[in-house]
Amino acid sequence: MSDDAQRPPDNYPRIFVGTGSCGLAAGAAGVFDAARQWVREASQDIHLVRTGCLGMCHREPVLEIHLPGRSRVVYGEVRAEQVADLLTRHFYQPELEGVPQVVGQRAPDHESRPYENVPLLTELAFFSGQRQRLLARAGRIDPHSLVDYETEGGYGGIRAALGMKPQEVRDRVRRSGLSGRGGGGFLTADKWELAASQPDGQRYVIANGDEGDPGAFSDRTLLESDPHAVIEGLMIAAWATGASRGFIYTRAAYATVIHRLEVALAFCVKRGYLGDNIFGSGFALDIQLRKGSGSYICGEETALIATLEGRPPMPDEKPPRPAQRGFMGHPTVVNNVETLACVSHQFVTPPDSADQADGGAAATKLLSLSGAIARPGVVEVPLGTPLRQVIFDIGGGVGGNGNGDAARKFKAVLVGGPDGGFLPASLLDTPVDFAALRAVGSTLGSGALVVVDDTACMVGLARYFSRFEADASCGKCVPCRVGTTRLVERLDRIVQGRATRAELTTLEHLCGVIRDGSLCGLGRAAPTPVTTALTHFYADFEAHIAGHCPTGACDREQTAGEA
Amino acid sequence: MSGKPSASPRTYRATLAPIPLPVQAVEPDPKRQGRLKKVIERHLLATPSPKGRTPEAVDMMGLLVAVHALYGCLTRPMVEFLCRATELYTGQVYAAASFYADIYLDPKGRHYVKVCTGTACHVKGAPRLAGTCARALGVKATGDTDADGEFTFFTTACVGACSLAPVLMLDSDIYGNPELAAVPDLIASHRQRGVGEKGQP
Repeated sequence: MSDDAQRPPDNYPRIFVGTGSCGLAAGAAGVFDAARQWVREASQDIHLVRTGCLGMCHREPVLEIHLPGRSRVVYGEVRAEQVADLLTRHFYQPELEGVPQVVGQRAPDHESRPYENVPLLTELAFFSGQRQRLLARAGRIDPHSLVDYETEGGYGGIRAALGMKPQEVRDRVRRSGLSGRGGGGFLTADKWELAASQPDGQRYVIANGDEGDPGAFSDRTLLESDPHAVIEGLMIAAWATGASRGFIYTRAAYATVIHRLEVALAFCVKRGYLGDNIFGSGFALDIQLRKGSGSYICGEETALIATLEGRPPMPDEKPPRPAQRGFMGHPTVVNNVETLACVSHQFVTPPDSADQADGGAAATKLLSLSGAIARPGVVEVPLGTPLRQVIFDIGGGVGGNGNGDAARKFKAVLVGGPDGGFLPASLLDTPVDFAALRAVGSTLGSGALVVVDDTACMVGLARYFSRFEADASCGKCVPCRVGTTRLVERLDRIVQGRATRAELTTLEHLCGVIRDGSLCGLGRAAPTPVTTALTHFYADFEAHIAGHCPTGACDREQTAGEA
Repeated sequence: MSGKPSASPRTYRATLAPIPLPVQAVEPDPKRQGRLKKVIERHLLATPSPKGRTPEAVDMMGLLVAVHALYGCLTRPMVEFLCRATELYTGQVYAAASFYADIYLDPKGRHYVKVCTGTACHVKGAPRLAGTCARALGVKATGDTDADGEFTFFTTACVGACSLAPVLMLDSDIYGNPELAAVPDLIASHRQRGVGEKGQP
């Protein structure tokens, strides 16, 4: 736990090591240790900081150096054994030309001088198409530090909100047009209004950070890099709906997230930002951290509430919606963590600019880029950005991480986790937007974009997702429990070349039954990968019926012995 | 109530009495008995709210995850013990414990070999990597332990290192896109290590 009381003065040179989960996986802990060793030996005062994640997963581990009076330089793909040389060079011979690890420099402020021949981060293709609002602090500030967050305007939002009546807060969120970022895309203000209108005085707010979609890691990045933003958003939600208790729910597997949230919450309690009388307003709120342990269904709001109550996470029928009767039978608002971060940003900025912020042209969405893409990472783009621009300009197009498969062609992109299904190249001009994606039979959902290249077999992938859904099905309702298993069996037959053409029709029919008959969103969306694959890649299915896999991927998988 | 299951578990203590339990049955080591009790107490009544402790402040998932982290699994005697500690029905605790993929109900090997099968890893060759690992260990399916009880093999959901896909985890060490031919040696090199931090379940 970094202690703000012992914080060195701001004019110290600072070294930042990106320690998000993907950074740690790539070796950031070693980089941090090497930097600490170097700082210990250096004969000057240096502030070594652990930051969150810049979003550039493809350049991890990331190290940044900020010398007083100079701009802040970002290094990428730094190996622990290079750290000492790199730091020595930067501190003592500040000529950065030709240093291979240099990624770019952050825009200098009026007091600092930029480096020559080093690109600004905003000039890089990865950043130039983005508009960073929620991620503006990510990777820049110390997520363990309350001071860092407040220096950047943090907890200004809740202060502003507490100066307003709850009804005014809800109205402002309504005017902003903010819709839920977790997948449903419902208007946040509707949920809040419904909860606030319940006669039951005991209300709850829950931040949903379960993020079960495979291929989604933007919530994790947000929570690891800027946990206070989510806490602040939850505080505003509680004030707006009259809740006095809050929960932040995340998965036990996100160890870094849990640690940073624990630190952040402890700071808030210590400073009186959470407690009986927040900022002298008389508003009382207690926030607890809760975790789940490896269950996809926990992201569904009624299942999440069941978990908090100690029941197995099986969804309940809606209505009554959780906003009417949720945790322990009381009105409960469940918001995605990204939605809550949007809320906290909205209230920091003056009302005029914020009012258009989340429904209009200024709204942004976090996306997780992964799969067969050259620059995987977490990005934030304005709503309405075409998928093509996200994948090819920001993500660098199809490619592996130096795997030498750059010659591969784009085949499909999986949007919004399994719920969104596949989009082929012909639909790449679809904008990243809730309504536009719904119109082409997909969903923006969690914002996961998994790119698939032409070595992948769509039938194999459809089977992969069906198996995932069958494993994830909680088993409460028959269409989902039995249907997804039958779906896997059918697809197995097709993959193995044992199916007849008539079975494709049965397959479509089965998908319809699961979609129409299931209790919750998981079941209703479960057949989407199959239906979208059937719509856009019918030829792949026909080829399997005829007895061969056009890409050979299915044969390879079978010989590899699927485990 | 339109068929909504009763939300509140049977009873909770408002204040914490000594846990009336056969701790010895699940934890013979007296030193570790204290640790186990502490974990249970911490979750029986979680973070106190400003208005004092409330009944729903019992954190069942937190309890299960924490006890699981201590022992690597929740055996039947342990589940029954936790029921007595929390004053819940066996069914209530077992229903929660058995639901989650990352909570194991029987003991596993000393080391974990996990292959991520999230979407990003899948499209970048996780099935091949999983097959290689399974063959190296001589096991068939996820959750299987090798013949000498050293390694347990898992395919697991996203470990959060999508940019390194496909990802192999040996205990808490992450290997991004390992060379398939080198995997058996990599696993063997972990055999010599002590029981490492297995990470959160």
